[in-house]
Amino acid sequence: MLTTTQEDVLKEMYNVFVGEAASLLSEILQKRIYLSVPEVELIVINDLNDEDRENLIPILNGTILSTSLKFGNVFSGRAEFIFPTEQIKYVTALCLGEEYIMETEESSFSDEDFDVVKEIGNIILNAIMGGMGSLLEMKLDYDVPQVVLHEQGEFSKTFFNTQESNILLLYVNFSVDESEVIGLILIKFSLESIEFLIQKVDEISRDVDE
Amino acid sequence: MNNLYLTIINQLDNGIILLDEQLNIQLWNNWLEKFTGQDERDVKGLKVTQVIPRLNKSLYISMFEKALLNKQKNFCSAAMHEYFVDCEHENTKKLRQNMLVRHIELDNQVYVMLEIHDVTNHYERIRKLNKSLQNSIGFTKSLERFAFYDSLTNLPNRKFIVDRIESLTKQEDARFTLFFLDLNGFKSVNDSFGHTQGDQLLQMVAERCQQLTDEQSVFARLGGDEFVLLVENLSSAEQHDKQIEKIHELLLEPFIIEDQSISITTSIGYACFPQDGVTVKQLLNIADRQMYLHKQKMNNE
Repeated sequence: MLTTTQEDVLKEMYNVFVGEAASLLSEILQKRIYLSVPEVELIVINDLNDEDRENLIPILNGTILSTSLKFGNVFSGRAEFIFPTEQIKYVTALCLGEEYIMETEESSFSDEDFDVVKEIGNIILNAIMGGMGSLLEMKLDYDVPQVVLHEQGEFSKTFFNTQESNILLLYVNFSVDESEVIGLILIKFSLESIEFLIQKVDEISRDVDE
Repeated sequence: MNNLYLTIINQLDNGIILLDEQLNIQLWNNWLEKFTGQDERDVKGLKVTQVIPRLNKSLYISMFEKALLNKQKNFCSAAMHEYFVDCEHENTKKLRQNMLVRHIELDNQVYVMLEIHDVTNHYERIRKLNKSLQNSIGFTKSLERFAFYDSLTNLPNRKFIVDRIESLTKQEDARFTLFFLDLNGFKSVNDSFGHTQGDQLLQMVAERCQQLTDEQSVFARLGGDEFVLLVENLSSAEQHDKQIEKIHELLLEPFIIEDQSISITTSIGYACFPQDGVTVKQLLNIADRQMYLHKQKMNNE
């Protein structure tokens, strides 16, 4: 678990990282795009029973589209940027400046929708990875993210069933012009990596206190 | 570079560009030669921004630099960037390309590799598919309209009202009243003015009575000059009388068809669910019989 100070430092850091991503997205799309991280939480999966895991993040129980990448070597883990599928069409319409038509039937996605999500996810995860790399003074190794559509509840089963028990959960407010959509970033760390990250966070808060 | 690898790169069905640390082009594969009409020997050694003007933006240059320095990989979608390299041939379609930006390291040299995927035809197909999908949705909607609405008056038809009644009878605690309307003297309008004018009169009656439709009420045409009004949650006799009065008031003003003033009245009977009947058939029969009694009474008067 994180202390309030650690949470505040992490929140501020990730807000700076996604702020860079927002600038780049604004430049590409020629629109005012804001990204912010209003909440950061560290979850230790091993401390939770099956029922708690299921109810931990309700969004994950629906159908979701995730953009994910593995980062590796010394500092390792997996990062996922997630949108609930009902918001995908809305996000792509917002980004491409198209009219959004609410569909009553289940939406189907085209490659165009996947590509938009892949690029947004890539930009946001790049900013986060780049930021964490600078903070930890190391180059993180990772590839272009993959976009995967997960049927209801499928994601939680695989994501939480793992050796790596520490998950950093970030809520991301994604706003284009006047509209807002909520996404999630989940970063799964190995134990050494999360300890190393928290150590860095503590160093920062000590520097601030002095 | 090893000839075999070069041969493979030149067989690929997408564009491969290799840039050195100064962002000068070191490799420009066959696909690009064919697509752009520019040979590798003409572009080799030139700045990529000179050869591909669309990449001369700070955001792309910063992507290339981050790829060189931080091994950062980037994906640029056609949806958000449209395209990167121009086509030599006159192209009527809007170009669409995805681009992947990667870091490459070989013999202590770092490079940026750009992979260009032309998805123009793919996007064109999606556009056409969407268009045909929209058309088929439109067709389906018109079929649905055809199935549930009366083509003359645009009112809900018999099938619509029967379905609505059936679904209401299955609901717990549902209460509703079915008013059955039959126009008086409609046959003589048809006989003296003709069927076209008769149809016009039905359309005008339908238009006026549309006012009776709201969240709890549906006004539908059963056929000929017969209509029904379904109203939910009426309980007292007083409320029923008020509703009947409202219908009569709506038809009070004469209809003007081809400069002719036509006055029309209606006979109304009603049945309440659940006390008068619990099936569509029972309710329609009772309301119909009540309407008939009302008509006889009017004729006698």
